Amino acid sequence: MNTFLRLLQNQRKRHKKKKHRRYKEKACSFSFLDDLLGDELLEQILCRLDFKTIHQCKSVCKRWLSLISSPEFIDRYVGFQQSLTPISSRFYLAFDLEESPWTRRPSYRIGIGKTALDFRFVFKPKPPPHRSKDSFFELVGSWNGLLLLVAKFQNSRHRPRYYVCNPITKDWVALPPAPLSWQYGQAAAFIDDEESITTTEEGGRRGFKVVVVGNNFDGAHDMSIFTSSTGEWWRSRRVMSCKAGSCFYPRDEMVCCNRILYWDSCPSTVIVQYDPYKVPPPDECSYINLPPEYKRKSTLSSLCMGVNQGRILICDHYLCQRPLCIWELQDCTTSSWCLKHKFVLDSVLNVPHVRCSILAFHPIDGDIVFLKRLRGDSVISLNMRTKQVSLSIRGHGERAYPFFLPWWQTRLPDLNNLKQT
Amino acid sequence: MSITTENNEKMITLMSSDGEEFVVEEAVAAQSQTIKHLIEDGCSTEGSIPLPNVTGRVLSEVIQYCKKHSSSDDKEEKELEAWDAEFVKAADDHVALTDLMMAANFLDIKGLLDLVAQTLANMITGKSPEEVRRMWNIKNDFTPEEAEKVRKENQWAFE
Repeated sequence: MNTFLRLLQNQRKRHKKKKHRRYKEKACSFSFLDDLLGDELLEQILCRLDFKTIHQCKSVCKRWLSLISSPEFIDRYVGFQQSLTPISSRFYLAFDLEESPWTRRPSYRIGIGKTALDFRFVFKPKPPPHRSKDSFFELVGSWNGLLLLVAKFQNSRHRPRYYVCNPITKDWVALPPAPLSWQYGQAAAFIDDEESITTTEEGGRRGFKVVVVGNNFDGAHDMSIFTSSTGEWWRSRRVMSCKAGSCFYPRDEMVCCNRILYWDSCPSTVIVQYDPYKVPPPDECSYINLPPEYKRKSTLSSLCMGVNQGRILICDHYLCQRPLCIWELQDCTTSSWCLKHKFVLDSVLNVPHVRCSILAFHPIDGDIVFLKRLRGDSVISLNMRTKQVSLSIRGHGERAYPFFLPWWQTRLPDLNNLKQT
Repeated sequence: MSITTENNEKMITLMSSDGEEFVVEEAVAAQSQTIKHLIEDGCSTEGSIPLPNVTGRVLSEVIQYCKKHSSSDDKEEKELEAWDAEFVKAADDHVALTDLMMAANFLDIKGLLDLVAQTLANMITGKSPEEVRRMWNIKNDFTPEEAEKVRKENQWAFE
């Protein structure tokens, strides 16, 4: 009861002033929020604000700015928001919007929520330094609320450049040129940086890696890994491919599943597996045989690979007069696969001789696959169990990437400052 | 002093900061974790429980909330939600809500605290920083340069 006595005493003191204060309240309203609401209570209110409003509120006053910017608050905000909405509601698909990738101002659409187009965004970075007329952009990855774009050049003297963009803040940063000798036949992955993965979820303190594999036409992979915390590329001596045949065409697609990278090695019958986190980075890759029933339609037909609930899924990338078959990798050491789905798209889409490319798998719902009708360029979300098409919107490009709207904005690394220090 | 009603419900008396007394069922008052602990510690037998941080006006609102929430069971969740909405509407403005929030915090009534915090958050949503400042009467203590810097860093949030 001691606390109560103290509180009572305080209260009596306040009682004396009360009449005066009442008067003051009416005459000139006092800043009660700042005076009376402690940080704890103010945080309780701010935690409930949406993503944009909370960042707007930084402009209110210094106290709000320092509170909202503190790591403790960000953790609390993220924790509270996570308890409100499931991660599945933050899922979107990122894909090219422009009809032609030959453009200096690429636009991307992040759309297709689980059920509807709930979020649409046209990405327009400021013109990157590469403004040569023969450059074009491709979307090649998505990580933690950021997108990875590559600028390629018709003129092969220029090396491709990678850009990391934040579609929410519309900021971008150019990575230094990748030390690769080849321009085409290159695959990229956008993944967590191991060193910083253990720290809190806050985007600003999480780092990333960009892994690029080029094709050397002599049976070897030319691998480079960029780490955001150092701002530098590491180049492998040679990641050898002894088993897969003489020629590799890694497409612009690598998937990362349980911290291992996988990529297709068209036209061979294997997919390549590589651990980018091993120290020192290994020179060797390992290989997984494709399902024996799977036959490539031609030497150039590549696979669509994706990850659902921590498992690798594959299917044909292009579909034309073939049933859609989706396999799930059961065990990589024995190369065992399980056929999850097999059906003809024509009847489902109600179009004869439909031609489609498979854009992506849903990372959470294993029944959902995203397709693009080649005619009309529409992106479709298809539920393979119910055979229902839930959405059809305009979109382009050959690949799409799962994009999870971050709980807090992901800061881009300041590469210029990294170099100076 | 603790009195017992006809249906054997134990009653306790709460006293607000301005000396107003409220006699409520123990089950109602125990929605407040603070009061519940005081009762468990045997404080209620000494007389009325003083609540020095809560005025009579706010306390009557809090008791109204606790009464409703101790009498309803889960089946009436929808009705309770509607009642909550009316309740915060009746609280009128953010000044009254802030008082209510501080009382809920002091008395440790989680449901009420969440309700009021959410209502206040809804009031902030959609308002510009200037409007928020005006609404809460907060002084803009940024220099023009600082304000410009913060604004520029978060420009995306205003678009």
